[in-house]
Amino acid sequence: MGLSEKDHILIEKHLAGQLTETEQRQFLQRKEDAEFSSELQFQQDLKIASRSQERDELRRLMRETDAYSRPSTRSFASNKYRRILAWSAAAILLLISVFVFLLPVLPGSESGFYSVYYEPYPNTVSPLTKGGEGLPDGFQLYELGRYEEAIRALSDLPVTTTNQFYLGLSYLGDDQMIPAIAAMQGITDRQSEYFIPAQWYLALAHLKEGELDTATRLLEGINQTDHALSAKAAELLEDLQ
Amino acid sequence: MLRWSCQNEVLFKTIFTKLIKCVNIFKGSLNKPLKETIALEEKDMVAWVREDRNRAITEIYRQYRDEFVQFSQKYGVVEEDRLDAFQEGVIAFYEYCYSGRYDQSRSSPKTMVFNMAKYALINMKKKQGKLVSVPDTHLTTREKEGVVDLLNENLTHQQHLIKRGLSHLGEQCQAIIRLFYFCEYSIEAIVRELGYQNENVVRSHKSRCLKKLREHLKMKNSGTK
Repeated sequence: MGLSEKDHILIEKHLAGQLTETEQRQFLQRKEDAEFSSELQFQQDLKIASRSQERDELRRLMRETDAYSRPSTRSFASNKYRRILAWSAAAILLLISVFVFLLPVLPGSESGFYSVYYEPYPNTVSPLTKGGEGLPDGFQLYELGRYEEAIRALSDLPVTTTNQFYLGLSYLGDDQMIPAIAAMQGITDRQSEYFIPAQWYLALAHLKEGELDTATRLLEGINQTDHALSAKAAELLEDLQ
Repeated sequence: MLRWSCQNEVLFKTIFTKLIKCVNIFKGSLNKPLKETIALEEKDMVAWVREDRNRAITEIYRQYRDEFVQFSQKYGVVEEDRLDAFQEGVIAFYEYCYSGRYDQSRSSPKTMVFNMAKYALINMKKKQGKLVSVPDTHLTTREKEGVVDLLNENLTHQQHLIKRGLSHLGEQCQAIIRLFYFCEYSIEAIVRELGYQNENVVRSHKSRCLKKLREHLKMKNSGTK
């Protein structure tokens, strides 16, 4: 039969805690109706799911902050093993730098920068958890590094900023620069939290393709923002000069 | 004969820069100062988390994270767990601010975040059957309940499906649902926030969004894709 507009408003006001006394009585009466009760349960579940999603989004923000600025209390200085590792890495890099200094021109240094600066963006939409339910979705396939499958799954989803962003990331992971560039270019909403990260990965993809001017222009754009990536963009711009 | 080029120089410079960073890791001076540090103690937290959630959370987390992780070393818990507890503490603080219950005159943001993170640590370890010796957090019952509610979040199968279904909705639907169900905005407030014509338009759009969500759930529950 379907619920009336009055029913929907009753549920709306109940969830907001704004029922008058009369409405409260009407609400309790309508609760005995199976369809009304089912809709009420659905919206109560939605409220809980919405809060859970908000919490996941906050965790994503914090993980992103960790990704762009590692905690300085990973106390390498106080950890003997890490100190040895750091010195060994320094020695190896010194040897490599001497080697490079003596070598002739190395082709494709732009793709070298890509390799140095590329890091997979974390799956913040539906991260894998222990004992997670069901088959992995497109975002989880991306997180697992199963890029071909992720591309197929994400291509089936509606075209939204989030889905396009992760589709672009999956193409990048699969080393398909041209479709990655196309996907990332589709992200034009400047208010979206993925806009700047998309610009970053777009710059890296252009760099991989040897399109230095385009990459530089994109990096300069990121550098002018307050985003956490602006420091990295500045660093890469300096390296490219 | 060896050849030299500008590209060699660039690559050499890159590697040399990385070399300096390795030395800095050893010196423990890896972190560069950020462009501008916001004085959190002077911010109106309740207003800030509502108006600029992403910036607020990022700043609170960034400014207090390292200090909490270092401060909580004495509790004898591995760093990863301390960091997890801190993240949960930040979320609990955010929800407390968002509800409008946080009284900044009673307790500074840092004190509140630290206390909630400590309480989260105690409860996380309790769940694992381990006791952590942490002094009293000085949280009120309501504040503690907020932390416990967060840690005990246990979605039913249906709620889980709804949550996954939310990510399949368009951005406008997600915005309306977030404002109504999480932020607890009235329909009238949503009209103003999202720039709709009137309340009927919002209700109509919300109704369509819920219909899409229900259809998605039906597909999932029937075992199809």
